[in-house]
Amino acid sequence: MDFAERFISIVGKKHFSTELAVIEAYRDTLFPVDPEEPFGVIMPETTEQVVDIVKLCNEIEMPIVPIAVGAPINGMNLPVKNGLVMDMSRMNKIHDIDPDTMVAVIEPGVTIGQMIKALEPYNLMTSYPNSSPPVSVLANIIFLKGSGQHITKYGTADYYLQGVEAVLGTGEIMKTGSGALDSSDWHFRYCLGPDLSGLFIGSLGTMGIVTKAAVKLAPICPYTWSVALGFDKIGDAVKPINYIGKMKMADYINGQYWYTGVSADTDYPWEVTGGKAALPLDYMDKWRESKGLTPVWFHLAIEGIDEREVAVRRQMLEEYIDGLGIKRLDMSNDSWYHVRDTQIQGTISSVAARFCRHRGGGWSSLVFIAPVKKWGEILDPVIEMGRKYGFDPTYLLKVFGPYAHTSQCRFVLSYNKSDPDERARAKKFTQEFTQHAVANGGVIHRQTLQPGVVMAHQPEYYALLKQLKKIVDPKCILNRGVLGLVPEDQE
Amino acid sequence: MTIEKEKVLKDLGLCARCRQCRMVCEVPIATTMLPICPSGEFYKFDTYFASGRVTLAKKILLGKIDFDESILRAVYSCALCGSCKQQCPILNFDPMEATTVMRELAVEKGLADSIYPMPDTTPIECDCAACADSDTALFVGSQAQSDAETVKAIATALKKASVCFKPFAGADAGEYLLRKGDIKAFSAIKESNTAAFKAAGIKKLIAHDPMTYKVLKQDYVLDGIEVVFYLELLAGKVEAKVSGVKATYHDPSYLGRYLGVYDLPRAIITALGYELVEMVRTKENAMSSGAFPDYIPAVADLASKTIIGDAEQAGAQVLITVGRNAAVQLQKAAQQLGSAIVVKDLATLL
Repeated sequence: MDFAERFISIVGKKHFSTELAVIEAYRDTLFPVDPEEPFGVIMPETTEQVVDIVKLCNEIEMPIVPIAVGAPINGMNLPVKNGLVMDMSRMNKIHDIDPDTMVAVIEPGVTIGQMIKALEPYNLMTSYPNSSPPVSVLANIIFLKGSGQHITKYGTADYYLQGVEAVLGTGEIMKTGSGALDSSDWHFRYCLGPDLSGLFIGSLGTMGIVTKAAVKLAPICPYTWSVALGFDKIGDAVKPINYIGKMKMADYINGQYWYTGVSADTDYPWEVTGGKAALPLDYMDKWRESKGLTPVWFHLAIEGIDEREVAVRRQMLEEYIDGLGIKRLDMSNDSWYHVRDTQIQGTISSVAARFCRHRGGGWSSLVFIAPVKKWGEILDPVIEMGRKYGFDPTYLLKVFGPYAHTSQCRFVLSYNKSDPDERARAKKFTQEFTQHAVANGGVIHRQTLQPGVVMAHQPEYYALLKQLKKIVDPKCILNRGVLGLVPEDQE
Repeated sequence: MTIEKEKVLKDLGLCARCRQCRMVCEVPIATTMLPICPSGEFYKFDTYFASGRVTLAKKILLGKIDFDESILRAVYSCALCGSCKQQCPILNFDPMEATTVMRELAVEKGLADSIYPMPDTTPIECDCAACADSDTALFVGSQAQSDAETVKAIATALKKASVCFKPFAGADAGEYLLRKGDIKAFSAIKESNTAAFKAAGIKKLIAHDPMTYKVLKQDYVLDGIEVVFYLELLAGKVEAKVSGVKATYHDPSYLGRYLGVYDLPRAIITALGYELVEMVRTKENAMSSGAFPDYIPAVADLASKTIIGDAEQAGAQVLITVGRNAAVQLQKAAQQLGSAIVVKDLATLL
C-alpha cells in the first residue's frame, strides 16, 4: 500500500487528494511568497483520524501543515515541499455551549459566523475580530493571539482559551486545563503546574494540532457610547490614550492613521473609487484636510449591561478629554462605531477588500506589539519606509487591556500580486519592517516570513523553543520551519 | 482567442481569499453561514469553491500549470449559479470569471468534450400556434430546457390571458454552448437566431425558461426586439385556484441572481391562492438546485436535497419553482428523501 492509499484508508477517498487541482488551489497566499508544492491535501473529521494521520506522517517522516479553513492568506501556514496540508474545515462541530459556566467547546473548523449564530439565543459572544465570517475562531483568532474588539477590555484573544485537546507530533493526544481531568468540564484553563494550554497559542500548529478547545464566553452588552478623538500626530495621543487605558475609562480603544477605519457608510469620497477601493494617502490627506479632520484618530467605546454603568463612565471620560482640550471628531456614521453590528458582514467587505483591490489583490497585514509610550518613535518611520518602497501603508492600533499594558500595531500594505517588481518591493518592505520593529523593542508575535531576524535578537529564547519542539514533535513534522524551529540536525 | 489575459489576471487578482464565496455571509443571522456553493459543499476541498478556481485560473493564465483531468473537473463542476458573486464583498468582481475563462480555454485546447456532457438540444415540437400574424413570438427552445407538455401549458396560459403570439420553434438559444465555454459556436447560433428573428418580423420574444431568458436578454444583442419572460405577461391575470395551502418558492439562479426576478413569481403564486412561506435560503441567497442537464448528478442531488430540507423547515406543503429542469430535479430529491412536499413547476399551475 503506498502513502496515498494509507491516507485514504484513514479519511476515505473523498477527503484525500494528490490531484493537481487540489494541490495548486492550496498552494496560494496573498503574501509575497510562492508556497512550495505539497504531496497532498487531507481533510480529517475526527480527532482519531488526526491521530492516525500524524502517526503515519511520523512513520514516513512527512511534514504536516494544518490549516483551519481554506488556504492561508497571511502566509503563516504555507504548504511545504512533499508535505501534507491538513485542512481542518470538516472538524467544525460545536460540542457544547454552557451558558452557566460561560464556556463553549469547539473544533478548529468552527467559524466566526457559525459561533455568532450559535450564541445568539444566549446573548453571548466570544472574541471575534473584524474579519470574514468564514474564518476559524480558534486558528484565526484565539490561537493567533488575535485582537478582537474586546482586546482593550480583556486582552489578547487567548484570554478566552479555557483548555485544549491537541494531537502532538508523536500522535499522542494531550489535554490541558480542567478538561484534562474531566472532558465534560472545561471551566478552568489550568491544572497543577505550568499552563500547558499556552504551548499551543501562537504555535501555528508547530507544537501540536489542536482538535478541540474550550473558549470563554462573554455577555453582549446592549448599552454603548462612543467618541472619536483626533490628534495631529501620533505622539500627541500617547499620554492621554495611555491614561484612559490605565484608568479603564473605555472598553475599546482603537487608533488609526487615515483610511484604515473608514467604512462604506461614512462621508467618504466614494465617487472616486466606486465605493470600496482604498485611496492613496496623499488623496486621503487632502480630503481629510478639507473636512477639518486630524491625521490620526481614535475610536473609544464604553459598553455596559446597564445604561447607568455607561453613563457614569462616560461622564468620567468626557471630563478627562474635555479637560485636556482633545479634539472630538464627528464619525458617528462610521461602521467602526458599530463593530458588533458589522461582525456578521465581516470587515473584509468594508476594509480589507478595499486594500486588496487597491493595487491588485496583494495584501499583507504586518503586526508587532509595542507599549503605547513607544508609538511616537516607532510608527511614523514605517509610513516613511513604506513610501520609500512605493507603498501607502496605514496602521491600526489597538490598546491591550485590561490596563493598557501594551498595544498592537498593525500595518496594512496592498500591492499588485501580478507584478513581480511590486512583489519584490513588498517583500523588502516586510523585511525592513521586521528589522525596524525588533530593533525598537517591538515584539513580532505572528508574522513569520522573517523568523531569522527575530531569532537573531532572541537566541536563548529560540533555543528553548527548539528544545520544547523536540519533546512534542521529535521528528519535526508539524508545520516545520514556520517559526524557524527546525533543529539544526534536521535542517 | 477572445480572452484578454492581462485584464482577466487583474480581475482575478482582486480575490481577497476571504472565503465569503462559500456561504451566505449576510444578515439575517438565521441565514448567515449556511452553505451556498453546490460543488464546494459536495467536494469540500477549496478547489471546488470560487476561491480555489480563481487560484487555478490565475496559474493557468500565467502558464504555471496546465489543464489535467482534475482541473477540468474543478472547472466543469461549477454550477455557474452566481452564488459566489452574490456573496463576494469585492466591488465589481465576479468570481465566476475564473470558471468562464477556464472553460473558454478548455474549449480552445480541445479538452472540453472529454468532460462536458452536451445536453440534447433537439428543438421541441410545438403545436401551440396562436396568432400567425403577431410580431410577438414564444421562443419554444429545446429538449435540454423543457418539453412539449410544459410549452403547451404555458401557451395555453398566455392565450387565456389574451396574449397574442406565434411560436418560434426549431432552434435552441445556444445556452449550453455558452455554459461549455464554446463562444465561437454560441456566436454562430446567436447570429443565426438573430437573423431568423428579424426575418420573421419579431418585435417581442417571450422566453419561458429561466436560462433561455437570461441568454436571450443578456447574451444576445437584439436591437429592436424586446425580450420578456412569460410570467410578466400573466401578472394580474391569474385567478385563485387553491386556498389554505402553504407554498414556498425556489428561485432559479438564472431568473433570480442573474436577472433579479424575485417578486413576480411570488406575486403569481399568491394570486393563485397559495399562502407563501419563505425558505431560509431564498431570493439572492437561494441555493442552486443544480438542475442543469450538463451538471454532475451527485452534486445536483445534494443541492436539491438541501432545498427540500429548507422547504420542509419553512413548513411548506408545496414547493414551486420555474422551469421544467428545476422542478424535475427537486421532485426527484423529494422522492429520495421520502418528503411529503409536492414539487411543481409554476407553468403547470396556471
